[in-house]
Amino acid sequence: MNGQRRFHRLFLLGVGSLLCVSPWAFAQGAPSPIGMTFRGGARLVDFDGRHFIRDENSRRKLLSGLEQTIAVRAYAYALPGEQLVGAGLRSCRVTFDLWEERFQVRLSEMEQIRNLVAASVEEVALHCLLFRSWPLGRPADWVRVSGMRAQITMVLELNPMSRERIERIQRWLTQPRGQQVDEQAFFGSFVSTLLTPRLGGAERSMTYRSQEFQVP
Amino acid sequence: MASIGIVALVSFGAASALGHAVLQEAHGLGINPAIAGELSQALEIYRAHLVALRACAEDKAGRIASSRDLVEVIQQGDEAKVREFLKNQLAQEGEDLRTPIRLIYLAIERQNQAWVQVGREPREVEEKSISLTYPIPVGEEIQLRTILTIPTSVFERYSHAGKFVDTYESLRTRIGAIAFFYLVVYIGVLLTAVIVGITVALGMGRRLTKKVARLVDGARKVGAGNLGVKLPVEGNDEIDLLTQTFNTMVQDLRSSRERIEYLQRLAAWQDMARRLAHEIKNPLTPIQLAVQDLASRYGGDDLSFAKRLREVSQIVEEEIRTLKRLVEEFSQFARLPAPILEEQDINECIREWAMSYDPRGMLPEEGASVPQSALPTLVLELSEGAIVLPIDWSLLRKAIDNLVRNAVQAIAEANIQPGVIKVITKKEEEHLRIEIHDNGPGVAPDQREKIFDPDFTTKSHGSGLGLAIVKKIVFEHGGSIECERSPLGGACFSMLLPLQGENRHPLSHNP
Repeated sequence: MNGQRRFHRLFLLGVGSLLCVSPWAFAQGAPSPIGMTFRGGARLVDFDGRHFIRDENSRRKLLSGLEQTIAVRAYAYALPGEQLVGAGLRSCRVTFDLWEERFQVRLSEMEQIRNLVAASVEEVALHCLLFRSWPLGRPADWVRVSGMRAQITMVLELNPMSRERIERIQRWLTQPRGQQVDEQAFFGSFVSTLLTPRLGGAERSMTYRSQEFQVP
Repeated sequence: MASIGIVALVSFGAASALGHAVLQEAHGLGINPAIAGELSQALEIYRAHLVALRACAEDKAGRIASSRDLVEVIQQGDEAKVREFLKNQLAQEGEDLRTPIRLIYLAIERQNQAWVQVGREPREVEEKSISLTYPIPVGEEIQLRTILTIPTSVFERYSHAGKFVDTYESLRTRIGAIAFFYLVVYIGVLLTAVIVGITVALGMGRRLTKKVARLVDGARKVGAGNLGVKLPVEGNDEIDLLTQTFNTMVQDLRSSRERIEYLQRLAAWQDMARRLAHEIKNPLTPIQLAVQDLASRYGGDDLSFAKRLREVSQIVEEEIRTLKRLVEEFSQFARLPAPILEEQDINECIREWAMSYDPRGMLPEEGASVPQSALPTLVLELSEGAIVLPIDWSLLRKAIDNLVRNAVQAIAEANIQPGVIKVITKKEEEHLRIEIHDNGPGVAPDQREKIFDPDFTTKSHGSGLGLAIVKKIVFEHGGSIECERSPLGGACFSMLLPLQGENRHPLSHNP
């Protein structure tokens, strides 16, 4: 009898959670929950993307001792027309220190930079890919689309094309013999000006999209 | 125009295709999966090396901690001996140059408090350090704390190598897009070159077409009899050379026509002069004799009539003398022979002629009273050395003599003192130039062409034949003559005679 009550309590708790933290979203491929709560005008996102770096290849890269970047971009759109309501970015530069055998994480979000230390890949994932009550968009922007349908997209990227990498490629194209040789390639100089961060995208990326929900 | 476009398009297409193929091959040489694989593997090895270094550091520290000697000295409880032992360990490890790892600090800790410690602190920027702690099996809670360092540069090099491989890999995975950009730039450069080439070709073609059209137009005008055509020469290409040749040809034609016309006119004048001389000369002597006879036969007493008769007789005789002189000039003009050319040094000829220069003798009879000081001086400015050319000196001397005579008379008539006449010879490329300058009143610009006509004279008693004879002689030597203003202030007659027989004008012997 007690067991039945516990089951009923858990079931009601589950349904209550579903009603309270709506909507649940599904990712491309494996489902991944994107939760959004509207608390006192602030729009807070809950998202767990830790599985993104659980695969063998990502672990190997993270343990390589070279700097890796994990970036999560979040967009909120009002529908129809995909009018952007808010956007957010969390970027982690992760370097495994082969000497000290620990991860150094440089986390940037909301114009803040934090230097963290992690002992394992799981801890890195916790720092970088777990979002709890993460504010997305300004309250004023949400007020503007009040009553409309909306949707949230989360894009997870491992080593996205960065300005720094573009610059390295540009240097390579401009001075293919190395920077020690003071000689500029004629065609390479032109080609390097055509390169942009949009060229190529990330080494690995996953996109999650929430279900549509009504903006209160 | 269309063919140029097709050729340009085909060339452009072929060049683009070739460029693309060359680009693919060139990229394939340097950026390919094989090299990328080797680089990644090298990086893996580098990483394994760093991991091994870390293990080596742990091993170093572990070996000291588990050393039987260390356990013994600790058990003895002599701090000095422990310190000595630790110092020796530091020194021994410091001498180990097989790895870049350095043991820089050793401490024996009791209940986490350092009992004995030796060594130094790590250097912040140059070294990376790790602190490793190992328990020492002596029964109580004693542990060995070690600090080991490695140069930061070892990891920096690894990081640099990683970035290099990352850049290479980024290039390799995006080589399609990058090759496309190369092709775009290549096509851009090629297009620019083609456009510039076509523009230049069209410009040049248009210029050439324009020049050819001008030549055709000029030739048409010449064909219609207009020999006054002179086409502009703008450059020095083949068409310009052709235009120049065309101009020279037209000029030759014009001058030939002028010569023919002039010589024909002169021939007519010569014929008329011959007839006139004949018709006038014959009755002159009987008239003179009759007048003289009439004057001498009068024996009457009418003194006024006798005086009148003498006066009339004198007038008639004087006019008959003038007529005789004119007849003589006409005869000379009519009998002007064709030149017989001989190679002669013109400078020498002129010097000899100058020896017999007699300005007074060149004046008309009424000018005999001119004082010596008023007679012009002759100055010779002959070029250095001999100038040998085919001439008929007897005729050319007459021409020079006529010109100098005119100059003397003009200076005397204008009463210019001191009068100067200058004879100059200059050897030019293919011609000899003889200039006769004077400081007389000169010839008005509008009369400079006409003065060579047989019926034109500016002198009160002149026949107008002198300069016509000069021009004919010069023409018959294959040369030309023109009248200009002299720097001396008067006239300058400039004769141009060919130095070689082949440079003579083809119509020079024509009448």
